[in-house]
Amino acid sequence: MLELFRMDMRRLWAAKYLWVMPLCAAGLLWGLYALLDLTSDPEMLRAMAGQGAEITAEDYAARQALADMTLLGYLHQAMFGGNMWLLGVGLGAGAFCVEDHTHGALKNFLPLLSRRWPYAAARAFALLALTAAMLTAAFAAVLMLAPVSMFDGLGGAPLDWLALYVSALLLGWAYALGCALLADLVRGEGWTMVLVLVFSLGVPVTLLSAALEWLHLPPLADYTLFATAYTCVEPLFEPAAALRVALTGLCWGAVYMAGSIAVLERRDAA
Amino acid sequence: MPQTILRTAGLCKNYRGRPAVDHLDMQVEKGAIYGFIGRNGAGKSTTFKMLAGLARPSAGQIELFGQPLTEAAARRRLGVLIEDTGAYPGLSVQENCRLKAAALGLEDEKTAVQRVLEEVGLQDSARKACKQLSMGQRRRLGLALALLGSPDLLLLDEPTNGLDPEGIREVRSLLLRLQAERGVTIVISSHLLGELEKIATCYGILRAGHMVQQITAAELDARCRDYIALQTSEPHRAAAALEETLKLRDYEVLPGGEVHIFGTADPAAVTAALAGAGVPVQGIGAHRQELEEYFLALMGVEEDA
Repeated sequence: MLELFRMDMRRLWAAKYLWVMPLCAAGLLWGLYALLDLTSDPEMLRAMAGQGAEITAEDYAARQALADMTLLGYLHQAMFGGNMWLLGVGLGAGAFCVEDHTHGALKNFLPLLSRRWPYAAARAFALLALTAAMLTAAFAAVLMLAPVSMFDGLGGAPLDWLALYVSALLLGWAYALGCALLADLVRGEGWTMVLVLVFSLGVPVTLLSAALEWLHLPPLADYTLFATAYTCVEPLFEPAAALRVALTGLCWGAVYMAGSIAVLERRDAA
Repeated sequence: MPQTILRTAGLCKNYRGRPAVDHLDMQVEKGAIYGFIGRNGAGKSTTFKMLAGLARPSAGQIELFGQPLTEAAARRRLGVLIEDTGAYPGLSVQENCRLKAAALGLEDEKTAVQRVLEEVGLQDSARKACKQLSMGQRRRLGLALALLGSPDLLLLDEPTNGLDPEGIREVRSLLLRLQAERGVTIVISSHLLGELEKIATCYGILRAGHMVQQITAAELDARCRDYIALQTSEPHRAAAALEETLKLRDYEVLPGGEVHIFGTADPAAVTAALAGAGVPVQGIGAHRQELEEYFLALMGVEEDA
């Protein structure tokens, strides 16, 4: 398994995943900040009003709302407000995993293994590394904004930052394992990426939620990764919410991992 | 007594209830170059996939190096090239090889990769991205990946596909060298039967997933018969004349006016007999049946049966 993990890490680096994906995460956070700064700048708003754009009092108040926000709050909103974090991790993990199937590379490695779990385990650790790299880049990018940002300081205590990091890591990793399972099931680049997009936008969770409500069943959709990331991850540490996030992440991670091993064991690899 | 490297017993693979491989019994001895022959869809690639552990047999057993296929130690002595190369297109030739070397846990990856790339003649394209390789170069890369880790058994499914004549000759020399110098056992499938005939020490002939015949090169040589090839515009009259005059029964009338006369007939006597019967002869000559003809004859006989 260690050899396969080394191989996966090598591919993460050589195929540029390990630095392009983190750079994208950092770039998106910087880009979003620049956009917010620009569109809430009073000078800019006045100039736009001068050009005939309809600028309301709410638009002028947005600057103050942003100035009341902390960097931690901004990071939380940017990552979990629209679940962009899961989308980013899902796209990276899906692309990485499906490559093994689309170009037949599995045929070169699986003959070495009598069981499939070492392959799935090595890949899971590689996905953990990819998720951690993206997350670290996102945190670093936001912290680098501190000296120049319009926000009201860093915000939160070190424990809050740590809790947000661990929550994002666990949920992101579990989601990445889900995308790995999707890649094992679909085995095609196009469809895997389309499905990752559909899942990341919360379409199945919304449908499931509506179906459960219609059938008068308990709101089990609240325990999906998507719903947990959206509703339970808080910028400030709350033990109960953090525990639920941790349990949800670990449970779904285990389910997806078991699913991947079962699919790889039962289906022919080529 | 030769050591059996690969043995299958009652190996079956069904796809949606239809047998792709049907009770295949196969035996490959150490150091052999085993030519695996069969028409398209005969089950060669499916057999290779099962031997490599990529597809689950529906029934039957596979033994590698005297151990069940489930033994990891036996699998690590296996090199595989089945269908496409299985390389990551965005990565370089060298990087793809180094990934496989890492998976194998080779100590000196760089040297091992350099060696196999030299062996397959890809050393000058080491830094080229796989997506930029020609079909022949991709095939060579597939061979390089299979050779990494110095396997004792190579499973090569159509390794010369897409290669130019020079490439085919190089692969042939490489395989012969591997067998002679390192005692590597090779199971190879190819539709280029003439090529296979130059290197194979034994053959397995597959039809509709079933092993029709396993035969050594020496046995094949003994069975491949001498014949006289006769070209005439009236093959059926020629056949009747041969039966009547020379009492010949072992012949075959082929489309296009060709008649193959097997056995010890003398071409001069045949020509005289046909001339006597007034049958025009456009050409006549002595020939020896080759693997391709033997294979086609065997397939024909089996289908007629």
